[in-house]
Amino acid sequence: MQITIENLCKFFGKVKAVDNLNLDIADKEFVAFLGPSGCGKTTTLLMIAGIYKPTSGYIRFGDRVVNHLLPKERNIGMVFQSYALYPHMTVFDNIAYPLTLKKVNRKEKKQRVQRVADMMGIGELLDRKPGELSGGQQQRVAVARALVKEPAILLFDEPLSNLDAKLRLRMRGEIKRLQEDLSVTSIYVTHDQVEAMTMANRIAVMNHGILQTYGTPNQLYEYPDTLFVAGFIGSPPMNFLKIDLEQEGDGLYLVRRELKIRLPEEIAAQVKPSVVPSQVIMGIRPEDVHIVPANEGDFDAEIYVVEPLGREDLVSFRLGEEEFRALTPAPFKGGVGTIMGLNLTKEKIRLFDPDTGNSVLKSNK
Amino acid sequence: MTNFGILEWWNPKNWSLTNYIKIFNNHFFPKILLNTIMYTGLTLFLFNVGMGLVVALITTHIRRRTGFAFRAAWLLPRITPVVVYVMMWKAMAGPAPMGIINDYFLRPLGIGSGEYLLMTNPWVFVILVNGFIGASFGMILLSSAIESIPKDYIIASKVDGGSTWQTIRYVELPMIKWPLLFVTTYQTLSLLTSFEQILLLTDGGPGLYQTEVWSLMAYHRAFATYFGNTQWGYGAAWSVVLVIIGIAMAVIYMRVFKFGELLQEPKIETL
Repeated sequence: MQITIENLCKFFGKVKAVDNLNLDIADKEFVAFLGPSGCGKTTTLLMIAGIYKPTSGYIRFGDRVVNHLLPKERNIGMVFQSYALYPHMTVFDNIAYPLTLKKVNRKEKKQRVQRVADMMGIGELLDRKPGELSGGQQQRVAVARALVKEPAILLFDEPLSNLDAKLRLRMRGEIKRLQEDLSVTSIYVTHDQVEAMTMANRIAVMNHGILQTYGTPNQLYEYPDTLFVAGFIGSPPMNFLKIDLEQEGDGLYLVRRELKIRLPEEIAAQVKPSVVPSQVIMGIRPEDVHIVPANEGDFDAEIYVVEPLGREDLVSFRLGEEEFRALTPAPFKGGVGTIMGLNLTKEKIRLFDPDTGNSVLKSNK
Repeated sequence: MTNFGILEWWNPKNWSLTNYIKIFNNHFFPKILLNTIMYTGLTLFLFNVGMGLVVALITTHIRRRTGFAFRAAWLLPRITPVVVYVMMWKAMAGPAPMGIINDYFLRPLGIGSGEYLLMTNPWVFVILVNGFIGASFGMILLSSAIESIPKDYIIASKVDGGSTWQTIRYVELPMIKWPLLFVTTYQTLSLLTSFEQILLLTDGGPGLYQTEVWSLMAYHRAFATYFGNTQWGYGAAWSVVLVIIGIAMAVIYMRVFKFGELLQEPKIETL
């Protein structure tokens, strides 16, 4: 089922929860809504589910405007962070609930529940109550309940947030595989950028009710449209540095007290001419910063702290007021306070307008 | 229990079970028992639980502020002094042309001939008077219970395809089972022992024991006979039996609502 969202707005009193959202989700696509809490992602999800009525704008399933449809007329399956399993019903009754409401006959109900429960690996637990299940089992029951009516659209509202790290990793893979096997159009709301990156075909990043960007995980990671996206996607986050962009001869240079970097041709060609010269924000990911001996890199900096991550070490430097991080293969030898050189992979440098936060690179996809 | 009158109560020869036997031999005992069952049962199910639940459900499924105002209005009978409240009902139920009910409701509809309604239909008023006070207790308790059901359950049920009524039936009602048990039990006991409204309204009449209930009987025996004939012991015996009935009712409710299941330990094996 293809979903189209047009100029969608939602007000709660005077608070604007969703602001002029435009989005299209292709049939069978897995889209993540990513953003910090209160960014409007769950509100959007609940409007798609039919729980909230949009203040203005349209939601279409296929060609049909569904704004006025009741939730039960939308054929949607939904999984909640709290699981929302009815505590007074057995697992069987929980999964069968959508069928009970539709008055499906007993025999068919039993077959369908058993089939979906077996698929989720909870076929043995059907006579338990939710209170007698672990978190992971409850989550499986919740997914089974969403799947049993064979919905056209699946909605996930932070379904893995209540699970421990190990189980979360496992369920992440299972849900992704399930979505691919069933080919159901799915929307997955999360504040965890790793979940969004690993699971979704496309990610819609939202902040303060406004869509920041919409693209594949790779586009968002490599060519973020805005500072917010650049800082939100990727862990550890991208480094930002205030720096002057200047023209010198036929080259573009990034200049700051301690450093001067010539932009490589491919990046320089993308810079919008109107921003030269001006102060910009340079962004570069920690894995594109390489630690070399002092005086051998693009600039020198003093080590502030070293954080071992196992496979790699995260080394933080101080540059005036700002912090600058580099990922380096473990074990890193070098103590706090040592001066080291830093070399940047210059093709990976991204530039942003400090006032608007938008990328100043022209065609960045 | 003693033959606890004014005279000679300290004398052991007056201590016997005579008063209990007297209760069951009383000519009006079946009438009073039936009255008590009718009064408690009808008031409880029509109003204290029934109307309380209906009002709670309605006011939690409409706009919040409207619901709140409506619930506040429903509290008026409870916060009005009981004597004033009952006197207002008596006036309302008065004969034409004084009684409001006769004058404004029945006559325009062409019902009845303006008779003194309290005298012709005493039970209707006994139940209404008590019910309108009693319903507010269930309403407050149950509406807060309904409002405290996590929103995810309601959303889940709607997305799963439930209409409002189906959501109430399959999700909300089972989830307020415990407050419902409490309201039912508490209100049963409270109705069994409350008699002040009936005392003020009909004093057990009109006629002989027509609206006399158990607790009113106990009161009448113990305190409302002329001095020198005060049957304290007899009245107390009525009360003791009422307490036993009350305890029995509470136990029955707990069985019916499967109280044990509500308190069961969870059986979680693995995470």
